[in-house]
Order: sequence, then structure tokens, then C-alpha cells
Amino acid sequence: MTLLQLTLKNLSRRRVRTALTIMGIGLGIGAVVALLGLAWGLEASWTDAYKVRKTDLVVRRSGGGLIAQPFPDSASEQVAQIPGVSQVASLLTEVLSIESVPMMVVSGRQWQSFLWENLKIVSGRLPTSADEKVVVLGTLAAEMLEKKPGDKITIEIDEFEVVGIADGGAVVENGAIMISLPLLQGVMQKDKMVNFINVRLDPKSRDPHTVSQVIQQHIPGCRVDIAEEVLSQSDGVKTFKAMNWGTSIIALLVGTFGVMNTMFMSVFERTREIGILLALGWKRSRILRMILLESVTLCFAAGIVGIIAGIALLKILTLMPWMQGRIEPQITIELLSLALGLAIAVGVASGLYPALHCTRINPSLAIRQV
Amino acid sequence: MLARLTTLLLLAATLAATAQDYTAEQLLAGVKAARPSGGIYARLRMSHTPAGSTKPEILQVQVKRRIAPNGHSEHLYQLLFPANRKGEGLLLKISDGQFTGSSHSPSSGTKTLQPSDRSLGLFATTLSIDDVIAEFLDWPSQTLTGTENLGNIPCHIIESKAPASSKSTARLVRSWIDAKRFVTQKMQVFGSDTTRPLKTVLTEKVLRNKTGYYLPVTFTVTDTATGAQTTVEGVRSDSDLTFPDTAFTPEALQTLTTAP
Repeated sequence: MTLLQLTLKNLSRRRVRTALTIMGIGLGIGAVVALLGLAWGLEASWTDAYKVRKTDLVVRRSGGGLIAQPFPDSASEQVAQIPGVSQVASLLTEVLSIESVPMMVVSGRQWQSFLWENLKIVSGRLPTSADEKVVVLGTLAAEMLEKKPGDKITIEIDEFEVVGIADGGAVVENGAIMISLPLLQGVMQKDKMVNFINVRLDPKSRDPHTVSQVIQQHIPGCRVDIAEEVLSQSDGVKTFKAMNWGTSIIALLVGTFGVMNTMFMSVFERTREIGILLALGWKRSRILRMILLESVTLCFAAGIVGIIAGIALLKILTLMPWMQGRIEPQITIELLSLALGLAIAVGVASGLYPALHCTRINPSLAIRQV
Repeated sequence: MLARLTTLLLLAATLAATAQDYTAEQLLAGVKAARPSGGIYARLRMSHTPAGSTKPEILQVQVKRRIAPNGHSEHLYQLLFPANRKGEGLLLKISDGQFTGSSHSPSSGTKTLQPSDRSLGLFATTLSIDDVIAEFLDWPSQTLTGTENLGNIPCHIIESKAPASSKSTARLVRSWIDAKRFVTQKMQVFGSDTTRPLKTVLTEKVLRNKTGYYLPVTFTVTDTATGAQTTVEGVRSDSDLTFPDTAFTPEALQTLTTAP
């Protein structure tokens, strides 16, 4: 009988206890998968939007949350003059409650800028001019608002016609209402104000970090982020990720102590058996390996259960109205590997002390134990 | 050792007493200090579930409000959504304790509101006109009647009795005030029967505003007789605005304009 077979046999002796322990640590791993899937998803959902727009740098006002405070649009002309900058596009982004939807991104885009290029029309058309009182809906936004081309939509006090449904190539784009910048500035009474400037760099230009420093020097009070890092630099996202990690670690700690308790109970019940194995000539290192393997096997199984539970939870969360159009949870190989790695680490951590305890057993005393 | 322990116990007792020993006046002063004054623009999302129904009706509402230090107040509520009711509005004014107002509907025009209309639901929701104009905590009779934990929030209960001259439909209002943040967490509004509330108001979400005060941003009003419910959610707001006098006239009621 191999060590693995022996391990599986030992675990199957107390099936209910093994199953309950797997469930316990599995829930912890499930929490890791769900919470990190959400945190990574939030970051990726917004980063994807910049990727599809082929934006290299994002200029915004320092401070503020995910949606930055507005500043005069004239800054975009200054940015356009900076060497290394190829194209600029101004954006006024607002999160508004639209009709029956509690929160929706409304994206006012500079007319004829590259911000319209990534929109692939699914039905209808794009606006024909900056003044045309129309909007284009992302596919998800159209679904949430139950609108099709030709329908009317109310944004604050103004009514617009939906002229097209577009696939923006990213969940944030698909969950948004796209409108020309001057129209949204009018609706929000923010004449000539924007809150983001998207920048495309000249492919032959210096590295983005150097250009971003030059922009920051030219426009006081602004902050320039590399597009892929916009979200990871946000204080709100940092807090969200820290909270998720904190919750995951607590769940894993609880699970670790649960497994340790199970392993100790298992070891105490088998003190006599372990004594016999030692008396038969088993090395103490082999006993240590056997107990550790039991603990790791238990946690590996819990890892699989946790991954399934975490994915199921994320799928359910995706259906929630407050998630739609904002976050697409990330279920990546990295996340699953991390979850499984954590499960194995928990197995080692929780099995080490009971295993070391076993190696200190005196065979002659253990055999006499009833 | 004993001396140290005694000092610690005394300190703990003093701190506990400080937390408990609020007078009604102190609590009311805290709540009133948090109230935004001057001109305010707010966008509300109201979700109304009529009695016996499970499907809520969503309303998008804009509010303009101006409060003068002498107690005069003017309120303009206008409906933005649903589209078929867009433009419905209410102009409400309180001057020297007297209520005047007008209602407007694009289909039936503008009408003058009567004092008896105070009990009407705001856009046919559970929130009544009286709820938005009557400042229960400004009534002269305020009594601190006890404390109670709402969830994990310790609250002080204040009973406000309507003065005989009050035209409000409420005769008694019981408010649960979170004394740490000076936020009303729950209200029971009673009519002439002070044993059974006409409606309850429960605060669901509280946010800290720019000036550091806490304000309820989401609350649910329940009609205890019918079970109808309206959840009012503050979507965004802007304070310290200056409205022209023309912003609170029956003519302004007929047109939709955003904040100045």
C-alpha cells in the first residue's frame, strides 16, 4: 500500500468529519475565489475599456474617487501640444440614475475623437453630428433599460432618441450610455468641463512615464495615470482590494484552525496505531509525511470544492442588477492556481503541528494506550 | 492597585453617563445642525410598491428647496420619470406656519393646493406632502422618553407632540435618533390615535456630507394600514445654491430646469 493510498484510507475512516472539514475550508477558499474574482474583475473591467479605446494615458484631477472631479476642457489643448502625444480625447463621465436603472455610466465623448472608434454598431447607427439630440447605448445598457433604436430615453430633465446599440468591446463600455460631450455638458450644466482626457501616444515617442511627468508639469493639479494602472492607483479600489484580502485571510485562518483541529483529533485517535507503526520500524519522517499528506489531501479536496463554490457565487453575483455593466468578475487560471496554492499552503500549515506531535510519540507508551 | 481600579471604574462610569445623559434639546440641536440650509438641489429615485403589489414603480424626481432662517421654506418637487408623467410637479410653501402650494400636471394644468391636501401622497407615493414640509423636530413639545438599540445602533427616542395650532396631519411623532451621528434612524408618525402609527420611516443608508454631518440618504416609508411602501434614495445633491425668487412660482412649476 502506497503512502497516498494509506492517506486516503485514513481520511475515509471518518467520512462525515472529513466531509465537514472539507466544507469548512472549502468555504474559505470559495470566499477567496469570489472576493478576489470581484476585485480583479473591477480592475480588469475598467482597464479593458482603456485597452479597447487604445488609450495610453489618462489625465484627471488629483484626488476624488473612480469618477474624477471636473476641470476645464481647455486642458486638452495643452496636453495635445506636449511632445510625444499623438491624439487627445476629452470625456465627461457621470454615474446617473437613468429611468428605472439605479446607477448607470453616462459617457459624454468629444465629437469625432477616437473615443467613438471602438464602438461596433450592432443595430441602428452612430450620431451624425455633435448637436444631434441622440444617444448610443452599449449592448448591456440597452438590455438593462429595455431600449432599442427609435426609443426615447430621459437623462435628467432632457429627452433623447436612442439611435444605435453598440458593442464597445468591454463590459464598462457595454454598460454605458454614449452621448456627444457638448450634449452631456448641457444636461449636467457643466459647460466646457470634462473629468478625463484620454491620451494616445506617438508610437515613436518616449516612454509613457516620461510623457506623463511632462503633462503633470504643464497642468498643475492634474494627475496622469498609465491606462493599465488607472484602477490600481485608485484609493477606492485599493481599499476594496485590501478589504477583500482581509476577509479572505480571516476565512482562511478560520479554516486552518478547523483543519488543525481535525488533524489533531485524527492523530489522538490513532496514537496506538502510530506507536505500532513506529515499533514496526517506520521512520519518524515517514509518519510526518503521512500526516502532512493527509492534511494536504484534505485541503486540496477543499480547494476543488471552494473553487466550484466560488465560481458558482460569482455567476450568481453577475446576475445581480447592481453588478451589470460595472464589473465582470475575473475567473482566470491565475486566480484558480492561487486558490489551489492557498489550499495546499493551508494544508501544510494546519498539518505541520499535529505531524510534529506524532513524531514525538513514544512507541512503547503509545502501544499500551487503549 | 485598588485606587487605580476605583479611578478606572469612575472614569468608565463618567464616560457611560456622558453617552447616555443627552437632553432632548442637545439631541435636537445635533440633528438640526446637520440639516442643510439655504438652497438645495437634489435628485431622488423613489421606488413605490402599492398595497398588495410586489412590482415597484420607479419615479425619478428632482427637488429644489430653499429654507430661510425665519422658518419660511419653499419646495419644488418635479417628476422626471416615468415618461408619461414627466412634468408633474408640486410647489409647497410654508410661511408663518401657513401652508400654501400648487400642483401641476401637463394633462390637467395647475391647481392650488388646499390645507387639507397636506395628507396627499407625493406623486401618489406613501411619502405625503405633510412628511416633507412639517419639521416635527421644530415643534415646541419634545420629550426624551428612552433609549433603544436599532440593530447595533444605540438610539435615543424623542416624542414630538404637535401644538394645537399645527395644521399637520401628524399629532405625535416618535423619532429614534442615533446620538453618535445625530441621524434619525426611525420614525413613527401617529394621527389622533396615538396607539397605532399611521406610518413608519426607516433609514437604510447614511452618508457623511461635505461639511462632515451625517444625513440619511436612503429611507423607506411604510403605510402601516395598507402595507404600501416607498423607498426614497438620494442619487445626488448640491447645497448652498442661490435660487432666484422665480424658481418657486407656479410658472416655474410648469417648466423643468436643472439646478442653477
